[in-house]
Amino acid sequence: MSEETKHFDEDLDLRVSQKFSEDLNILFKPQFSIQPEVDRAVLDKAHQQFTPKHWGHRILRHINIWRIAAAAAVIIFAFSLNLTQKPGPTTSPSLLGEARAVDIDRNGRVDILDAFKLARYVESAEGTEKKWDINGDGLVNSNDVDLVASAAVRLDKGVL
Amino acid sequence: MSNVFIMDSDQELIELVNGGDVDAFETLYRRYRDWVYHLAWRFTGSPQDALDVLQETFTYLLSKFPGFSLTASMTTFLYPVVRHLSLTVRSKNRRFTSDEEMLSEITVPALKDTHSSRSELAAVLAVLPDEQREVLLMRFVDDMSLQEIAVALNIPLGTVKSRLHHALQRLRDDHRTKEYFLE
Amino acid sequence: MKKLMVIILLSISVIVPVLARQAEQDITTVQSNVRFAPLHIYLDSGNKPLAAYQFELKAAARQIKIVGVEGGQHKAFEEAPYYDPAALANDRIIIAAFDTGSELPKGRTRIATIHLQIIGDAEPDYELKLTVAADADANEIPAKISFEKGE
Repeated sequence: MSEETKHFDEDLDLRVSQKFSEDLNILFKPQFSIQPEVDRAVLDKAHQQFTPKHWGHRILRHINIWRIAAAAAVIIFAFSLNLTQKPGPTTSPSLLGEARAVDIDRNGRVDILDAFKLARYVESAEGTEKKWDINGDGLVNSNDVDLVASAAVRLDKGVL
Repeated sequence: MSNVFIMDSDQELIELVNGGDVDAFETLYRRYRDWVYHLAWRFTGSPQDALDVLQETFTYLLSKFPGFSLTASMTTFLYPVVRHLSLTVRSKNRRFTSDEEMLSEITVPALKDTHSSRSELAAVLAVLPDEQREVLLMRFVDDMSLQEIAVALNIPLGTVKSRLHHALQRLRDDHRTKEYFLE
Repeated sequence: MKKLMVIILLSISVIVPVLARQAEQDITTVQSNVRFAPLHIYLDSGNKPLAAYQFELKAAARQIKIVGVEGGQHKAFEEAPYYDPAALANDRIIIAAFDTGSELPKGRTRIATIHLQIIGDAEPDYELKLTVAADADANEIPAKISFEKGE
């Protein structure tokens, strides 16, 4: 039992022995080891998401401001061409790029039909269009389909 | 190994991650990885499913950045996430089970060793009402405070105390587990 | 008389523990004021086979928490659909699924069941919106979405 939680025992007349906690931990904490591949999978995703640290935070902020301004200009231009298209929530440039990548049918919105069309393409095995390699692993397969479908159902979606 | 911050609090790490610091995220991950894994194993009953939940949990945490604000402790934030992701993983493997059914199926695993007091503890735990057992495990295995449990489960603090009290009383009254109590 | 006393004592010894447990459960139920209920989602695509769908469900703030999602009745949609895990324990969710096979449902079919934790006594106000429904060629088709509350 850690120190920070001990003082909460004052509220309750617990009077349990240390052995109680020890035995519970033996029962409910399995002695399995977590393979390094699992760590790598999680941390690789983090590395993909975050911008390189060695650039420094301040420089990063400046670069991001220009990228956001450029993206905003693109968005304004895109909407000036089609004013009937309903805008969605704004997004950062990295999400903007991702949103474009998963808009398989290029209709300006990301929905399950994008995943459906990619799934049909994958099943037809017509070829390996690099642009459909969404996760960048060199293959166009169900993993890319799942990524597109996940983007379709994401609650905080980007705008194209 | 990359730069690891060992002294920063969770709040400090989260601020760093919001600023794009991937090493800070790694520290958070290593700090809570085993905790999440053990909890997921308890809910799913399967080491492989628990690994899936582990990955999904931190993928979900990643999706919160930038702009994440921690309003409670990390364990309070992570507990319901792990719980529900475990439910999802379980529902993929068989016909859907509800939250309550998942709780009722947290059976204690059969022990290879023949330590009698532990196996008796397991037997008594198995017949506790699900919500009492959950609070007991959150307190003594997940090392969460009563307030953290209340927030994680979204129930009043008084309810947490009541459930814990009843669970411990049952254990105290049972001749198989009364030895765990100091008087 | 003796027999009657035995019967009465036996009844009391059975009833009292049951009542005590019920009282404990009642205390916790009153304190948490929460119940769980499934919401069955139906889609009617008329005479067109349904191959893909996407919809959004939400309720007024703090009325519900989404605790789980289940697939539908037809083989094409029996697997758990796609949804954002961030929706769990919140009150809004986007759900979608597709099937590239040839056995597809027509007419009215249950496409998903959403398991909810309902907070408070009032019946939640649900908003259900169909985003898209499509046939096997990924062409959008008109369809009607509805829900039924389960037990």
